[in-house]
Amino acid sequence: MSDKNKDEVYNAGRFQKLGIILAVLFYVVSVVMVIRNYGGMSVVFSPDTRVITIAHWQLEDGFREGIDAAIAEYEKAKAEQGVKVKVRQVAIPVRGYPQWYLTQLIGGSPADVLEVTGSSDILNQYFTALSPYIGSPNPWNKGTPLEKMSWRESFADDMLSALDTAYSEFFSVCTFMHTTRLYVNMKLYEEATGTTELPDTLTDWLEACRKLKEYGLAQERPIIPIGVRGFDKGTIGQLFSTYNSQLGTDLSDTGSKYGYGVQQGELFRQINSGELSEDRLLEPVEVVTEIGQYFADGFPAIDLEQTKYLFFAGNVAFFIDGTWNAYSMINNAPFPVRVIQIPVLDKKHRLGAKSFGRITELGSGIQGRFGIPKKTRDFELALDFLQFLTSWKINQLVMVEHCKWMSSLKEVKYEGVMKDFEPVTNTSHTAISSPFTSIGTLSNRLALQRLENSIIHQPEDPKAFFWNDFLNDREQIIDEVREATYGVQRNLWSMDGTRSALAVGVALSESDSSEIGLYLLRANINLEGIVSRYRAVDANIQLMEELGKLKEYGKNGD
Amino acid sequence: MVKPLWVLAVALAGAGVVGAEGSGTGRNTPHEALKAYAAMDYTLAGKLARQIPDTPEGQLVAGLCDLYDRSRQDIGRGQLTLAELFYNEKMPLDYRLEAGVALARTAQLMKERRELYGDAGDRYDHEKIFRKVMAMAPGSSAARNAFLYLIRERLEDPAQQEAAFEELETFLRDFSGDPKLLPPIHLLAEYEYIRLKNDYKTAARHLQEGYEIGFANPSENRSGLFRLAFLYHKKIGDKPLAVKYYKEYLERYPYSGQAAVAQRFLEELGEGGK
Amino acid sequence: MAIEVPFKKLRYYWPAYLLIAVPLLLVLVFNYHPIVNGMWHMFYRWDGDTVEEFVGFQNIVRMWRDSSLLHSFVVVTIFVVANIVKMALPIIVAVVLHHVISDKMGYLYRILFVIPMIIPGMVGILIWKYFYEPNSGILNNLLRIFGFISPTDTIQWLSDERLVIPSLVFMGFPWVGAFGVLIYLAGLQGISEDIYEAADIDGAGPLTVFFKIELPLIMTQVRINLILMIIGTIQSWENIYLFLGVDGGPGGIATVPGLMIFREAFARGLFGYGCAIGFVIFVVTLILTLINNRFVRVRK
Repeated sequence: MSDKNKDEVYNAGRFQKLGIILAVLFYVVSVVMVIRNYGGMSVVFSPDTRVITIAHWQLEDGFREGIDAAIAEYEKAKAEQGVKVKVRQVAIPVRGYPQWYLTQLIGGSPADVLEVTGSSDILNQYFTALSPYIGSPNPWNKGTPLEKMSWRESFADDMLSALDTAYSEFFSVCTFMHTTRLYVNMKLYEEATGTTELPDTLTDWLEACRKLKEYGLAQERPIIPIGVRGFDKGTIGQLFSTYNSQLGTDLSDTGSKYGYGVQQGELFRQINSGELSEDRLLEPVEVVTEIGQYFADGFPAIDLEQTKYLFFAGNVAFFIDGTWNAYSMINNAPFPVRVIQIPVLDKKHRLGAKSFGRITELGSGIQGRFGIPKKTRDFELALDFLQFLTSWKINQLVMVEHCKWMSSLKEVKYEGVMKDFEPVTNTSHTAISSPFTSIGTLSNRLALQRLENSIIHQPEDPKAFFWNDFLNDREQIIDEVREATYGVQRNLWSMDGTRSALAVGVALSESDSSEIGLYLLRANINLEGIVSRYRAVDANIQLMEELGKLKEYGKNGD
Repeated sequence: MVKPLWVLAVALAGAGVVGAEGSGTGRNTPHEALKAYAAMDYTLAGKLARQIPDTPEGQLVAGLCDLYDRSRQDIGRGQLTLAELFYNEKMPLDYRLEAGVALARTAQLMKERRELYGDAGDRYDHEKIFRKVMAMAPGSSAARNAFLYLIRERLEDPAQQEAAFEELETFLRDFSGDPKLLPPIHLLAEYEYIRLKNDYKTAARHLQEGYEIGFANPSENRSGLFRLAFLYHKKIGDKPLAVKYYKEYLERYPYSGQAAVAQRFLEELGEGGK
Repeated sequence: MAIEVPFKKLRYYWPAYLLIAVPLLLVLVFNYHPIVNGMWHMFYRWDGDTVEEFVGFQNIVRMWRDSSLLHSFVVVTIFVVANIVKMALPIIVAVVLHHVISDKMGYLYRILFVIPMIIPGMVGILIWKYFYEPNSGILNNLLRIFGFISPTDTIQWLSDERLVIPSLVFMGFPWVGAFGVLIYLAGLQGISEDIYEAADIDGAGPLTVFFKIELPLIMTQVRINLILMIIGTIQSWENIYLFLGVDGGPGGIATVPGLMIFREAFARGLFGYGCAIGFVIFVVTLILTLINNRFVRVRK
């Protein structure tokens, strides 16, 4: 071999050695990262350490830090009890969370405490029913004002928000409460309107928005009166829901044959028979379309981060959002920010004569549902941790202190800016769901798209525009309801499986034992749930029939 | 070089087979099989049941797993196993009752989904089986369950509706078992009296009876109480009872969203509050 | 080179077959099994887990009635045609690079083209999203600076139904991806100098050289890139999802079949229907590949 070739071989060999060194180095780093993520060397070398994982999608400021603080307290408390515990926190971005979560559940290795989302069927299939555990006090509430209450009663709404109405079962518990408010850029507002008095009514709000728009044109600045996160249609949905309730809450008195509340099929039946005008359901469309003229241009493509950026850049006057962003909105803005409620539809407005005013927020807005999958490896520890997280002291540590959110529990006092977010309780009307948005996921998505189109195109008659487009989507919606009905019928089979398991449990247990009592209780809950499934099937059948009979706008009830 | 590899491979395979067989039949396997099934651990329950096929527990659990374990469902085989168990009078009563209810219920559900199951559900006369269960153990939870499933179907049939309502009242009146088993029947009765007859008075009576015994689900208790007050208020026009139940609702559930509504309705009725 | 081995003597070559068996098994499990599984489940109402109800051709009938699916194929056809047109630029750039006289400058230009490859695709998409942002995005700001629109006007690139698809087509401008350029350049560098000399002697101009010599001789690479581009475009949906969300923009205007699969399967839980759509995509891709093989010939 020539000297030149030998040099080439030598250099090539040196590169290969470098490559091997790099590969080994990266492998070692990977192993270290995996061990660290798993729980650290203490877990690897201490096999009696029990490890559980909590997973969620809350990436907002403060939440992960709050959970970390709770984890530290928990591990310390358990160590004092002589139990070695390691809790890992996994945060997944919300956009990918439903898919990640479903894959984890189907794959059989989900986190032990999971933030829940998705349909009732998914909850019933994959999550442990918590009913047997919510009747006793939360052991972590000893020495607190909630000490004597059952775990269920310790929640501000008696755990009603966590109830899965399809199965009459609790598959999760709520950990925080949110309300939606308007964040106001006071500097811009004052410059444009000449006052610091903030609008409380829709009429005043629209007037302020008009002034803001004029101010922007005069200053040749792209001022956006109302900033929304259009990408996920969250804000549109929120506004629609708010004004739908203010306009239609009385429909709860007559909207169902069976009691208080509305059934979509019944509402459509009343429209078909002429007892109810479709206008009653469409008035909120008109309201939101009117408000929407002051949204940012191109709002459907703007996501939350972009809207926040625009707000902090001083171009947005009102930003509709919830408590979840309170911390960053108020602390990071380079101008004074005030918080107000979404303005109420007042009597001065042309649609306001029929408005019922503010709707009570008592018992609503309680969210952050966490449940325990059936396939958890350590149910006992997962349950204990969940109870810890929803104990009076720790829930406030995480939510109020770290996140500047509201707790889901009773007996919590708020101060400072948090008071602006406290739920409205001094009214006597409750929220009502719209049949356009509450049938199912697809119909909700189509309805919000329709609303979005109405805002973008600003048709002369938004009600006719929305209704006729709704009729175009009718086949898809009926398909969705049909699929849901099949789902209910499948549920009946699964629920009979549950009934059967509980019956075997009863046969196994000693009579007069607490175990048999629990089995009988759950068996009764199961059967009550079956009755509610019958109601759901009948309601779906009625809904499909009535949807099929609906006519063009203005021609129903002839 | 080849021989040792083959020996190793065969040894590993053999160990795998032995391992897969598990611990073998233990003395308490029937109990363990039932326990696993009660915990809805179908995989373990099915595995243990297959080890004891000739025992009543093995038959019951194997049959039920075949029906309800979706990952390994074999409805035909499950129903056959349960039918054999049900009609065998030497088997323990509890097991026969559960076999009967599961067999009849699944047959009934299959008939409701003919587009999926064809006429496979017609193999078993579910009505006859339900009635036999009710006759075998009147007053039991199995009889209660059988009745609920049966009566719902009869009420759906316009030709049998009146007779079905009569049977419903007779059942509730003559039920010899624990009254705590009856709230779900009252719940169904309330619903069907409104749906089929618009008979709010009888519906409210049933709801009241169910509520007074106590619904198992706390949320059903809460919504049932409100509904009771609402029915008396808006549908029946019985003011004293409406007021009574609205006030009870406010006392028991002051933090619920409907507390504000109860308050408003009391004001509407001129009672002003708690 | 392959040799013929009598069947009786196969056992003497067992190490070779053992070595092949492992990757073959992996391919069967991770590539073929999901495909077969998907084709199986297109006849089922399937929730991705234990709910499996045989529904026959219901999913196929539903596809037939689904106007948004038909629309999605129209959209993806637009993207395919646009991408075919966009293939011209990397070829032109490769030819220009090939004719750069200075070796050092040619090397430098190649490096400059390759460096952007290290940016992850997602980052590129987010940059383009910001580019199109109507209120403070780069594009609208540039238009304001040059006076094409007033300071308070906005053009809704991703919210106006008329502009969404053109905006997506324009994305990636100037569409000169390093990958394509390098592939064509490698092909061009394989052309012997003798051919250029002969063309020069015959008096062929640059355009004649390009169309009669260079383009035919890199046709193999063009064809491969064409097939890969068509398959990739028909299957891709991630860009649309990141840009416009699961709805595919205003009124679902930019929905593509891949996004429909994602939406139906993961957002609605209709995995069986998603499999059926996937099968249709497979058939369409196969047909286009066969057409490509038949009509895009390589003349040597």
